[in-house]
Amino acid sequence: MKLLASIRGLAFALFHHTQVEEEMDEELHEHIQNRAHDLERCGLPRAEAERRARIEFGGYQKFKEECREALGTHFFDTTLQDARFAFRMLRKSPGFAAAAIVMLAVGIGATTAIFSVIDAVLLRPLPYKDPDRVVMIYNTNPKHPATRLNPSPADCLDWKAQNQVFSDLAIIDWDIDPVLSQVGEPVKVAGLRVSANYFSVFGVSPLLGRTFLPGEDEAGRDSVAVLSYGLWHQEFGSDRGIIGKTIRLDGESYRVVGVMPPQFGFINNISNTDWSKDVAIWMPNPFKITPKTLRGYNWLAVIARLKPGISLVQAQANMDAINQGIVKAYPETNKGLGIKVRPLQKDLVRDVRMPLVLLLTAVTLTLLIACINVANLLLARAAGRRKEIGLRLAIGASRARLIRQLLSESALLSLAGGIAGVFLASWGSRTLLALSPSSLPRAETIGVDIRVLAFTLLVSLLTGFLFGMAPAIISSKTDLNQSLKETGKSSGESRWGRRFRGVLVVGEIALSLMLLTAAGLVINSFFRLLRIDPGFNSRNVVAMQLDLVRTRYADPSGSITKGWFKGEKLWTLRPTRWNFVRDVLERIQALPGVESAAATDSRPPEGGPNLGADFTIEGRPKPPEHEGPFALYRPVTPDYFRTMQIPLLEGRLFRNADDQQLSQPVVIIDQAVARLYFPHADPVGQHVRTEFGEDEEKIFQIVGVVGAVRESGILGYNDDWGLAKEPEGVMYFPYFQQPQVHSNGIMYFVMKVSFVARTASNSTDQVAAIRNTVWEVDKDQSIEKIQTMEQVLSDSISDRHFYMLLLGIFAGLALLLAMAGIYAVIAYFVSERTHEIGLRMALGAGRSDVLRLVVGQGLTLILIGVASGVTGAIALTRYLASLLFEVSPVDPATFAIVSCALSVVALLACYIPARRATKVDPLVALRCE
Amino acid sequence: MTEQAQILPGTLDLLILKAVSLGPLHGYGVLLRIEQISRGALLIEQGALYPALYRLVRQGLLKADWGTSENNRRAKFYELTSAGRKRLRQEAEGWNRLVIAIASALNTEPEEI
Repeated sequence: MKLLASIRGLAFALFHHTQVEEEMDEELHEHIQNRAHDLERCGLPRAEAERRARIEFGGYQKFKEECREALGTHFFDTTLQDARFAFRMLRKSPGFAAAAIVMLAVGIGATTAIFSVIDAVLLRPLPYKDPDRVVMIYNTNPKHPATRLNPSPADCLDWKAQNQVFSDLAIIDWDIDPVLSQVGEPVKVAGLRVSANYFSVFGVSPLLGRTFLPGEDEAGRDSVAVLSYGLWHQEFGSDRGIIGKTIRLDGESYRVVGVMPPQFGFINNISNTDWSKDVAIWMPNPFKITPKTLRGYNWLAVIARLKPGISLVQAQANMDAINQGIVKAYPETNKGLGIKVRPLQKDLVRDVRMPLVLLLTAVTLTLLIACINVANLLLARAAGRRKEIGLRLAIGASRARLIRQLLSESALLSLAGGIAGVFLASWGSRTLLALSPSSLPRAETIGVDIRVLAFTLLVSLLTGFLFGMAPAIISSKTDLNQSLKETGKSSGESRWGRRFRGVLVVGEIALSLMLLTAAGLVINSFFRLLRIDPGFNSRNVVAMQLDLVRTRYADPSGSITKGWFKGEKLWTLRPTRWNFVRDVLERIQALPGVESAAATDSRPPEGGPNLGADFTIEGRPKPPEHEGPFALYRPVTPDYFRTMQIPLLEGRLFRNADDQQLSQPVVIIDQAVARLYFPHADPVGQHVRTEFGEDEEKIFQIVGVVGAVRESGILGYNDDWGLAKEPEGVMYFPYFQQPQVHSNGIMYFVMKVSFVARTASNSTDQVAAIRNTVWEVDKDQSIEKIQTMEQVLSDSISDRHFYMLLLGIFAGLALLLAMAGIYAVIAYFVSERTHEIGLRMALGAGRSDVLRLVVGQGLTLILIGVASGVTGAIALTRYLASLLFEVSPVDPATFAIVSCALSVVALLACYIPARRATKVDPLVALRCE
Repeated sequence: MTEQAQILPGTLDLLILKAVSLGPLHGYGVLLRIEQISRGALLIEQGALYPALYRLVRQGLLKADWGTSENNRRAKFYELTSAGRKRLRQEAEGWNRLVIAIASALNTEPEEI
């Protein structure tokens, strides 16, 4: 009750501020009046009575202040008063205020922008029910724990049937991207084929309609689809009547049953490659093949929801036991396989967590440097205010009160900086979004919202405290007698303050050296990446990839009659499949700017060739299954090597005569295959035996050896930002010798066509002309991608480019701020010692002596700063290792260059004020005291 | 004028509570009442009365209301609350115990030891 009354009283006092003040005055006046009246009655004259009454009352303002304190409004009053005073003080020195606010705004803005990314990508939970209960399950190779192996259908079904730890287990076929040909141009959409319980694993209900019913993943009932919010919005104009309508996917009819809420679709890393996609459409996954026949062919992915009360460890133990049973029962396919249960959330951000944390560290260091600079400015200012502060101490201000006043000023500065920073950040996070690599998950949720604003407020207040505290304490330590005695404006800084400023500059140089080193290492790696030889000449080459609609270029032709894939649908390509490619290729070759052009299946070098197979070399003993030679297959037209400028090392290239359906079967191997399988013999002229498509085994003659190409992009498929892979072995086949019949499973790849064209001049100009050739042949054909080869290559390292760019920007900012800091300190040193310098010069010191004095002062700070920065960098850069490529985290060259560059720039910052010092006119300097 | 004593720190609150316990008073009235009941023996810094009054109101020991004074002017009257009455009793008992203890200590004669 008492507390309540007290709060009510305080609230009243706060909200009725003027009324309370007036009543207080009224009451105190009344007292004095009453007293005067009484004294008058005792015989004093009126004027004397009033004077006595006032004297007896005591210090009127002091008691009023004490009354306010007793009321509890004191704290708020003072804060308001402090803020007003701080505002006036800052307005009086707009240069200082502007400099401080700009520095803080940059620091806080950059930090906020990076935080907005991290918040959206890493911190916010997945849009699933109890996201930490969703796991993925995959096979492992115990010898290489990081690798993931996709399970086969039979394994998945065994896991599902035998486990006791998951409330739901869904099976996903992830490499399915159907062509939607309902509305407008045919478009390829990212898809998943999933078991019917997929959505209940995530615990997410649809926005419209329903998800799959149990049994809809069986053959015959599987012509249904669920759309993502994005696809529904873009392709169907958010039409709520879509439910129940029929759409065409890959030429077949599907009935739409539901639409999922926004942000549901993103999924990645559930398979063995670094693969991610924003799923636009879900279809049920019918197992048309009996599971028993399909073990050992591994292409699926599995996600599951833990049963309530089951821990990850228990789930892992259960799955280990099940896996051991499977391995024992099917040693020929599953021998040596391990199993792993892993939370999905961990993996969603697997690739980006490290670089983002790194960026946050970098940006925090930048903010710290900005803080140091502002602290430095405040200290210099405090030195100029020593008289004011001394005076306030003299008339009775307490030290705590003074510190509070000074902190109010820094709080005001940091809040102003924070507000400006928010504007910078909202611009910055939009820019980041535009620059960000596509691998950044959930990027669409990045932006400045209430969470980010709260973060900014917190950071602003914290920085205000950080840079304000030390200067406030130091300047409140002013020695009263000293400061009041000093004459004129040259009241010197306290020794304490000067030493502290030195420490700040050293810290600033050390921090920026650390940042610069990190950026230097990453930039160094990036340029090494750029210098990697991809195995072909990317200059002036345009690459275009198309995805043909299978129902227009192929016909169903029965099913497989024996073996593992028994029952799978077969397709026979129509002659139009080849005629289309031949027509487009001829048109491209006929373009005036095109020197040569060729066709192949998928676009090199990203992703690599789609298919590969075991082969045997004639005349050698047949190796055990899956242990013999293996190569990726790439069908090419004869001009491919000339167009890509892949060097011929031995034998000959393809001739037009090879490239016919009935020509003698020939292949060209690359250096990697030659080195692996023909280390001592000349491969040219030898024969290899292999299966190609659904054809019977055929014998091919090797006619040539060409240079190896990094087919998996510059970096190759790698785990956790690993190093670039060596080129994989590739075997080239004549394009038009490709088989005519293909199984359903590989039709996805068979329908891909890519064209490469070498142009006489800048290839960018030819992009439009090349694209038009496709539409001249078939105006309904969509173009999947078309870019210059240089663009393709730079895209393959765009992630690294992004992180390098940001790190470089932060390091540059840090360098600028540090330079401003050291400049300010040295300039202050000079202005403070003008008199002394004048005296030295009057006594005969030369310009070089003065220069040495001033620069020497700076040099000491710089050297200490660089030394501690190098130490700090050595301790920290090892966390960068995974972002580096062929560069050691303690690369001596980078360290040396960065340290030297920083020292030189810092010395330059000292030199400017030092030169000014040499221009001091001794007469003027001595007279001004 | 009799010889006046500085009041001990902390005793002003007690005196105010006592003064107000004899009937509602305005600020100046509190001063007069204290002078009256202490027979003018205590010297009070007049202005210090008000922060003390405000503090006691905030602590819920007094309550304040605007009313009309004996010379027909608007004045703020202070009145004891039940919490204030309780506090006064406790403080007075404590004070009396202290006075008796100190007095008996000071009156001790050598032979009593």
